[in-house]
Parts: sequence; C-alpha cells; structure tokens
Amino acid sequence: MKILTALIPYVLSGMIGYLLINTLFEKAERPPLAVRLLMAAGLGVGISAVLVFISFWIFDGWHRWIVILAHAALGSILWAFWFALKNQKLSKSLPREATGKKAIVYGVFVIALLPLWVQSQYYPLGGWDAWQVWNFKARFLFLAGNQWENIFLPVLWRSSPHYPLLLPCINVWGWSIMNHPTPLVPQLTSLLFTVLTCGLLLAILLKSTNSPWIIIGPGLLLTLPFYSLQAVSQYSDIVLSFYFLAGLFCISETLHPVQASKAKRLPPGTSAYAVLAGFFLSLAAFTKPEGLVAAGLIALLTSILWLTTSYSNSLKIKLLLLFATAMAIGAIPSFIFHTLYSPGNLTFINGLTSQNKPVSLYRLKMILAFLLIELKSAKWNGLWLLLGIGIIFCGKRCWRREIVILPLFMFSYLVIVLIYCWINTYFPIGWWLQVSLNRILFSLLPIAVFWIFSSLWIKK
Amino acid sequence: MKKAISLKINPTYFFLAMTLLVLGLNVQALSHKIYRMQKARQKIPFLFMGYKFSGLKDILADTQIMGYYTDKDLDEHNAALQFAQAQYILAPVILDLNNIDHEYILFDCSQPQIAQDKIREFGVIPLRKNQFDIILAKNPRAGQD
Repeated sequence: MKILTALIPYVLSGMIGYLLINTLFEKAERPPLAVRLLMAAGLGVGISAVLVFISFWIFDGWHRWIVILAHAALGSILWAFWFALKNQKLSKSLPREATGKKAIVYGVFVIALLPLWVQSQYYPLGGWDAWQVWNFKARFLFLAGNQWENIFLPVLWRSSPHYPLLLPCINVWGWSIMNHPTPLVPQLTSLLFTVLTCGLLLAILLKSTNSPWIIIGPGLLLTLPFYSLQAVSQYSDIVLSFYFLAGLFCISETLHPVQASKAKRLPPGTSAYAVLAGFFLSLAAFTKPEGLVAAGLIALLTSILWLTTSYSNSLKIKLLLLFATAMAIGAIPSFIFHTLYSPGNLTFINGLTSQNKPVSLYRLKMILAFLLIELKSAKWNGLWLLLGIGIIFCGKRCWRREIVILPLFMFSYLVIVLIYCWINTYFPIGWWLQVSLNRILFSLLPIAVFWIFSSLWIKK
Repeated sequence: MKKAISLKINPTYFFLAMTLLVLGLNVQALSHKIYRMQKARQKIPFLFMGYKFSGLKDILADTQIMGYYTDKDLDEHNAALQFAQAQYILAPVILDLNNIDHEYILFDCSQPQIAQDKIREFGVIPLRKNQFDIILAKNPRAGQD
C-alpha cells in the first residue's frame, strides 16, 4: 500500500509525458507504444521536477498543493490539445507491436528486473553520494520551508551546491502525496530510471532490428553486478544515462538517409523527434554539470549532422529551430539555477594557471593509464572488451549516418571529461578517477550497447 | 568439395556466442553477489550511522546552522560517511564542521574523554548525550559578538 501511494506522483508524471508525446506526433508517425511509454515516463518525471523547481523559485519554498495543481493544469491543457485540437480517440484495441514475439521479449525483460529489485532492498538508502549529495538535498528542500536557499551555502561544499537540482526535485515530487520524506521514494526513483533506461534500450533496439536476440543487450546490463549496484545506488548517473539515451535515440531518428527526391519535406515524425531530443537534452543539462556539457556537445554535433543532410536549407533551419526552441524551453530551470542560485564550483582549481597545484604530464599519463585499467577492470566482466570486438565485427555498419552521432558523442564526451579531470587539480587524480570514471562509463554504457547491437542486428 | 567444407562464420552469430558467454558470467557473478549480500544482511541488518544523530529535532527545531566538532579525520572513509549521514538525517539543519561559534554544537569524537575535554576547553554546556557518545552542547556566548 505504501509503495502504491508512493507511485502515484510517478504515474501522474508519466501521464503528462505520454500526453505530450502523443500531442507532438501525428497519429500515423508515432513510435511503437513501448518506446512512447518509456520515453513518456522519463519525460514526465523530468517535467515534474522542473515544475517543482519553478515553484521553489516563484513561491520561495515547497508548496505541494501548488505543484499538484500545476500538474493538474498542465495535464488538462495537454489533454485538451490531444483530444479537442487533434480530435483523436483513444484506441481500444491492443497495438500490434504488443503482441506475439515482442510480448515474450518484454516478458523476459520483466523477469530480468527481479534481481534488481532484490538488490535495491539491500541498499534502501543508496550509496555514498546518495545521502551526501542527492538525498540530502531532496530532504533539505522538502523540510526547509522558506530557508531552502541555505542549500547553496558554501559550508555545504561537500554536497556540491553547484550541482543542478533535477534529481532532488524528482524526489521532492515523489514525496508530495505521502507528505513525508520517506527513503522509499529515492529508492523507487533509482529503480524507475533503471527500468526506463534498460527498457528504452530494449524498445529502441527492437524498433531498429526487429530481432528477439536483442534482449541480450539490456540483459547484459541488468545482470552485470557492478551496473545493477550503481543503478540502484540512488545516484544521478542513471537519470543522466536515461536522458542521454533518449535524446540520442531521438536525434538518430532524425538522421535516417533520405532520397534526394524526398528531401523536399521532412520524413514523418522528424519534427517531433527533434523537439523531444531538445527536451531530453535540456533535462540532462539540469541533472548534473556533466549533463550540461553533454547537452551542448550533442547540440553541436547534431547541428553539424543536420546541416550536412540533403534537406533543403529551409528544412534544415526548421529542424534546427524546433530543436533549439525545445532546448531553450527545457533549459529555463538550468538558466534560473545557474544565474540566481548556483554558488559556482567550489571544488575547482585551474591547473593551467595555478602555481600551487599546476597540471602535470604525470597527471595526464595517470588519466590515460587509469582509463585502460578501468575498461578492462573485472567489475565490467569483459563487457567493454566485448563491445570493442563488436565494433570490429560491425565494420562500416557502425558508422552509418543515422547512428554516427553515438560514437562521436561518446568519444568527444570522454575526451572533454578527461581533459577537465586533468585541468581541475582540486582533487588528487587517483581518488577522482576511482570515484568518477566508472560512473561516466556507467552512464555511457547503454549508448554503447545501443550502438553496437543496433549495428550488428540492423534490419535488412 | 572445397566449397562444401569452407564454413563461413557469420560475425553476428560469433558475437552472439561471445555475448551469451559474458551473459553467463554475469548471471553467475550476480547470483553469487546476491547470495553473499543475503548472508551478510542476515548477520548485520542494514546499518545507517545517521540514526546516531536522530532524536534532536525538538531542540533544533528553529536552528538553521550548528557546529559539528570532531577529532576524526574526515578524509578517512568511515568518518566522512558518518558526517554525511549526520548531515542527511539532521537536514534542514546545516552542520558547520569544527566551527564552535554557533549556538548548538554536536561533539562526535573518537573517545568520550576527548569530547568531554573539548567541552570543558570551549566552555560550552552539554545538553544531551546518547548511547553512541554523541553530545549536543550549547554555546552560551553564541550571538553575543
């Protein structure tokens, strides 16, 4: 009963996300139901967190009824759009994709989730950073009343006050119905995003390959002890991972090659995917500072790829405008956070200019050596090696236009993060690499699996 | 004949076989891990050090920030963990590490004697001590400057 009550806010968020996605896509161009449902849940929960943050900004504290009413208002508006403006009716029959072979694959997926649930029971309060950074902030926001801005005091530097507040706001929203900061909610949030990430991975792999063998991809993640432990540890990396995957999938859907004769208009669904990508990336930017860097990087890469398509200039501009507008709307909370509240990174020393802690060649060597050690570490059970072999087997299929953004992003993102680790000499490099590098790889892993598996099992 | 014996290995199937191998290793490792966790939890149920700091809400109701004095090295894992959990459980009260100028100060020392010596040295008044030797003290000089 307690779990069901705690799930109510997530269900409401999911409904908002579903209505928004269905409003964006024309009926004929909608992605498969599973893809829509999974993206909707992640998008909806993100929207809820944004509403919570905006309510803190406007009403100077946590006012749950205002946020619940805001959800009701937004839901009603989207409902009206969906039904009245588009004059569409709910389909009463089961969608075709929910039947047969795919239903069995999703059934196997649900069984594969059971160990995850068992593990989360052993770590009800999550891991180290969960209470140091994320759960502490959520609890603080929920209980502090109009003193909530104290969360940005420099004395709390251990809790990284410069980190954006998406995950804490999700948890605050999760407590809204129970009206009590129970540890159950952060636990459910991490479980939800793990299910969404692995579920979305499965759904988009099924969409792009149609092969039931593809279940092995998410299966590899869910059965890897290190992955499942990180996922249920209540860190923000699983949230970031979901938004990366969802955003990149949407972008890849806009990059399918088109014949020159058909390049006069955008293929079905392309505009909606561009808008969704903008939303997902802006939510990633509000999850963690790395998310902001990644969102900027993906936006840059996407713009370059779009500008080199065979579309007419007006279509290219339309696509860019849709994407930029969605990103700008989604970036409003990040903008408010960084301009009004964030105290700036208190744990940054620019090693390029610092006399006391300068960058060194040793630090760079250590980073590169550690990356290799990490990739072949026993905790990954040879998964990165397997994916490396997958690249060789894929050959040219790995570099198709529609998915080339995946390796481009992963490689550039890793390079940027490692350069940052090299330049910021505040923390000893050994400690930092030990704590951070595995989380960065963790957040990239679903993208890497999507890249290799969709290339190997591509629809013929 | 030559054509018949030349077996063409489909790279996808070869990759699939390797993937299944890794999946098998994963499943084995995961089942071992869950079994070990189950055993460990039977011996010691989940331990959250933050509970050492619970039961102070009545005194700290209107407090926004308080001191947290410790002689432990917070670069050491367990001490840092305990401090983080104390901060979590006492939120929205903010813990100011080793700052004794606030009205209330928590003493979390490695030995009870060290805490008592420090309380005497700082001239603060102990208010409450729990079974974990965590002492809440009041600074009579706070806010007088």
